[in-house]
Amino acid sequence: MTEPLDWTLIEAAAAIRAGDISSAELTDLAIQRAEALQTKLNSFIALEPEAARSAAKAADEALASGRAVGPIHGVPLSHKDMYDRAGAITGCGSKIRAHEVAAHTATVIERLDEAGQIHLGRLNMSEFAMGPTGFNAHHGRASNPLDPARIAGGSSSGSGSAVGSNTIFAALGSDTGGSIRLPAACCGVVGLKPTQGRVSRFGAMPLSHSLDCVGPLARSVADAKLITRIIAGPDGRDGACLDAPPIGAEAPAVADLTVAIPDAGFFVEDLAPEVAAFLADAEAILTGAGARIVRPKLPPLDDVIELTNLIAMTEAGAIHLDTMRERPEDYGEQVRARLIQGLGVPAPVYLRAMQIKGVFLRRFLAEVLTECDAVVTPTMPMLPPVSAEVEVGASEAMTRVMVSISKFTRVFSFLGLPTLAVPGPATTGGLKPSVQIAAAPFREDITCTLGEAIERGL
Amino acid sequence: MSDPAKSDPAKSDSLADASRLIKTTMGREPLIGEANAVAAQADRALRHCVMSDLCAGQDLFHVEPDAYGAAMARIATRTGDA
Repeated sequence: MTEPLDWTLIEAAAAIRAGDISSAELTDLAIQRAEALQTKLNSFIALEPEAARSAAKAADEALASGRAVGPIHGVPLSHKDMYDRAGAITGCGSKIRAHEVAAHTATVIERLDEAGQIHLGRLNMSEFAMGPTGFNAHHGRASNPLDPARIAGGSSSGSGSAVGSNTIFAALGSDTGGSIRLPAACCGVVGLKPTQGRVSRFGAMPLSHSLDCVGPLARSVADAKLITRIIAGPDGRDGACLDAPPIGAEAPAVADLTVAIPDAGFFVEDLAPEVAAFLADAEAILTGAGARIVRPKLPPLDDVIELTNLIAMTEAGAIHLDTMRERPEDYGEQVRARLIQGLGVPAPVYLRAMQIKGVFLRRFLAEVLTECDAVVTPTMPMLPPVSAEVEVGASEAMTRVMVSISKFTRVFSFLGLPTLAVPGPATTGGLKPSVQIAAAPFREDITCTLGEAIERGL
Repeated sequence: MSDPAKSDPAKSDSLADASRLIKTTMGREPLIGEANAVAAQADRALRHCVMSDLCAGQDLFHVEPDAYGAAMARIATRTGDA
């Protein structure tokens, strides 16, 4: 029997419902681990043990009284420090908004509350969700639980660190250019970036209105799918949140799917040997499960890397314009240098990027996703780097470092496709390579079917 | 070590332009790394957006900037192709 903190979210929820463990016991174990690891991992910006214990006690009482409970009733979760809860601080990993008290509760938080989550505290993140390394000039970086000398990835660094250290059972991140999938890849966990428009962003800190997605980091594909099903769905408070069919419980069988896995070009150049080996293993597993493998003819993708950044930084620049004028010294040096990049983008060029985004989606759907059901690529070209190697501040190396880490994830951010990051087995020093699985809009079910097949095959 | 901007007149000009833009828009002097970041972004915007052929030569005259959102909405409601 595994230890309770090593259960998956689904196992933990089932154990609470069955009376095998109380929410109070499980929450207490999670708090103890969070406190024990905080100095080493710095996963939390604010740990709220008393509120969590009180909520867990209430959850146990609700269960004992026979009241109907949600699918994650009594299970401790925590989220990136960017989701509003009315009356509480949402700091966005920043100094600028460190004391900002929210007036409303984010839709995703409301839905997780209704599903029964126990909230343990606010998780560390890159300042204003900017940066794939997870560095934070104000709170310090969250460390990688597989090797604390290495980055946890960003921007949802605390989410990756806390889920990867089996402290909490799942966490919300947010993904604009890879910020769910990169920390998932670095910390050896699952991360699901849903389709653009699948999940409401009401009450979530904005970075880029055209690219921001809310989604989970979790210990298994099934856990990530469960969280996504809880938080997804239309929301009148987010005009960009679409009324799409729900994520299917009955997904297609692997044997009925055609999967494109590149064997040359953009996605396989300069891969670390461990990453290349896991991509080959994933292909073998999917082939063994009956999937048909094809080699995709992908459009040129180098421009996409920059277009994603151009749109994100121009929109972020508008969001931060007032504080960048009035309080520039209250931003970290690197974040400030990135936020000002949008000044180098004339308005017609930004609008051209948006035109390209629409046309390129149609091109990708027509040229690639008519030939296959999903595309599988590495999530990152390398294993998570040693922190000191990518701590470059606002130097001229800044853009090169950002691109080297996030170039693969940015492609599917630009397209807005659902993309699932799945970890491989432990390799050098316990680190885990990762692959990402992208599918057509609103086909999270396909990414999860393939992700679960890879999990089973490892 | 010599300053590359001083030995490269084009780079020096673009950094000066970026500094002026920051002063005009932000009402303050550029801070560390800012002028460089703006100049580099302007260069990347030209190379990867203005000069991009991601649309495979398609004429963008009639393409609206919110074409992406419209396409996703059509897919979501399954009322037509993207």
